[in-house]
Amino acid sequence: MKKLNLLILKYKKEEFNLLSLLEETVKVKGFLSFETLNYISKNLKIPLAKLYGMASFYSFLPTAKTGKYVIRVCNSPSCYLNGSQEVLEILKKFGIEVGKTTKNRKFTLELTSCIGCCDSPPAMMINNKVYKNLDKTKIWNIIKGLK
Amino acid sequence: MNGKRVKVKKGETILDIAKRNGINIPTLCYHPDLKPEGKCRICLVEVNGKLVTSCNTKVEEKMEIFTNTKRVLEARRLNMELILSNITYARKDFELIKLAKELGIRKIRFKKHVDNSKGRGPIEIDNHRCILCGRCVQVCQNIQGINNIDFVNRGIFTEVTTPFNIPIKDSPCTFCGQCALYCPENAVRERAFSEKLIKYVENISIVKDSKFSIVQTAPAIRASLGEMFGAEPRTLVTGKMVAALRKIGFDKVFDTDFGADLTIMEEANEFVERIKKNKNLPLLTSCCPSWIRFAEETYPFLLKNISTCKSPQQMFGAIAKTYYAKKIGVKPKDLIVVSIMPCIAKKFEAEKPEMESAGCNDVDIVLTTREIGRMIERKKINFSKFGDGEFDEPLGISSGGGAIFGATGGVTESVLRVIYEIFTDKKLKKVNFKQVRGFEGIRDTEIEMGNKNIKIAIAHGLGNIRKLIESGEWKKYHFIEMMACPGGCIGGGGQPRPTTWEIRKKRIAALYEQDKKMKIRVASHNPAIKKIYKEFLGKPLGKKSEKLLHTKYKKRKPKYF
Repeated sequence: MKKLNLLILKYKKEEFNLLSLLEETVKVKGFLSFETLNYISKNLKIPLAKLYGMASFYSFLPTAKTGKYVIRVCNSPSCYLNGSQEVLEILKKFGIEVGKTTKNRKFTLELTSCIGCCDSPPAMMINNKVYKNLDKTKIWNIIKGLK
Repeated sequence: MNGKRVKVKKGETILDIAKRNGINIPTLCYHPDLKPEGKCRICLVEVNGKLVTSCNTKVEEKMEIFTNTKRVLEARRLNMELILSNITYARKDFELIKLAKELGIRKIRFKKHVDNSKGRGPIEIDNHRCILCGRCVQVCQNIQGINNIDFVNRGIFTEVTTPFNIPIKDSPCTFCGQCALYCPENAVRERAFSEKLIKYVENISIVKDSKFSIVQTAPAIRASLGEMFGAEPRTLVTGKMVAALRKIGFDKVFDTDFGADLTIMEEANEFVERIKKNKNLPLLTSCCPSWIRFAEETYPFLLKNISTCKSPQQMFGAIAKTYYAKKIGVKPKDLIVVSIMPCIAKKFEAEKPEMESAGCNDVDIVLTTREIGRMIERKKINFSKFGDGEFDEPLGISSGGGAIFGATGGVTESVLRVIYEIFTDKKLKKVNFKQVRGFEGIRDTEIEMGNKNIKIAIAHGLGNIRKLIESGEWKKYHFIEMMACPGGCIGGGGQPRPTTWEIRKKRIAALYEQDKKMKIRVASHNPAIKKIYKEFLGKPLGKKSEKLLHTKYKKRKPKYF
């Protein structure tokens, strides 16, 4: 809560930049819970509906508790045509499904829009690291490496 | 424009000048009360070879505008098709479908991907009909200032909902229903009392043997129900409405105006009492359930100022289930009170636990104007060809004071008529208090009564109410009328669509016309009211009326927030 207060103070003073505030809040809190957003809304006098609308718009602002690793598979045309669906199928074999968090709270899988790797598709992000040119063995190694 | 030179003023949009020059541009998300957002892209026109939305593009010099080239028509049609792909079902008389017909659309090639979320409190949002035009969001944010709904998610998954999908009944929603009023295709709507409705009303003949059903109609209904059957907004359909309700099968047709008269009596006396004691002033009116919910949630410090009177609907219900039930010898439980209201919040009010005076809910079923209109249609009753019926006695006799309850400023005017006689001991000669009429969101006036100067304010629209309270101005008045919907009940959430300011003004004019025609203009002169006080209630603010006609408010915190 202290950290959140500091953040809010910072953004009250500085030029108003809601997106970065929410981004930094995610870094501190892990995700944007009802309580967190409500707190921000009360303090900055921005309607909660607006904040939630914004948070739900961006893939990188989770509004529910996520696993330790958040996997984001690119679903934009370049990756889609080059096998992003197969990537999802391989991940499914590990029990990781789109929009869900695994039971041991280790992985969350989401689809995302372009992450700027159209030159080497298919691509995905795990937390802040980008993995390109995915194929079966690569994915196996990555996921095994995380366990 | 279309090859002709037209004169324009600065700041006008393309749509404005097209309207003025008699050129028809179809619109969907555009609404005269709201800020144009250019969301639906149906109003496209071609300007200097580019397609732009006419509703929010300002005119400039040397613009060459074409409103119906082949390119424009094709683009409009494609957009319409994309919009229609959002919905799975629609009635042919909604704005959207009328427009689709106009544009000549037969087949839809696209599909939608959002799950449906239904049944969450008195208001529900049906994603299978929503086309994301955003009128409801705008009205909730800009006009009412509640900010309870917004667009959520992105792309084909976009939907309109509350934050974190909170059920609407647990959210700070006040059920004013303006979102439903502005919706062009019934995606945001009132929850139907369907189960009860089918049981009691649709098959009313079945229950008729064992039960007795009465119906009350709100003051604002008669000026707007005709619109559902193609009448002009200014037409009063009192007589036809009564006849149609009788045809549906209600045993007795009564008038909420009677309840309104009763409310005026109680409220006026309460006001006089408070002025004498100089306590808890200003008095805030309590007829609007949406405003009450808003106050209970947001401004609990105002609760002691709100009049303790129940709303006309609930007063009527309480009297019907006690006085009237006894009179006709029916058990309160077997007397079914149906009320027809221009309002969605009334559904919520009728189900409040404190609104029970005879062991069961005072009002059993609340229907909106739209619902009763559809019901008349379903029953294949030819509304426009009906003769005139008259309200039954005794709960159908009312004064002009009750009749104008539906308009903003109406409650104030009716109360003034009654308190004038209490303060001055003279008979009121000029019954019209034109100072309190008008359409501004917040207006105030001073009126001399005997040796007293009474300061009055009138606010309508929750956004205006919030303004009045948060500025602190409310403290300097003696009497404030609060109505949650712009225009008062006449622009309520359950009224026929479309409702614009133009239509609201016409409906209000119709109500004042009705008042003018009435023989009794002051509530305290109503013989039925005099009789009920003599036979049953005693005197205003007496023991019995305190028990039946007054209520208490408590601070309410929404489950969330």
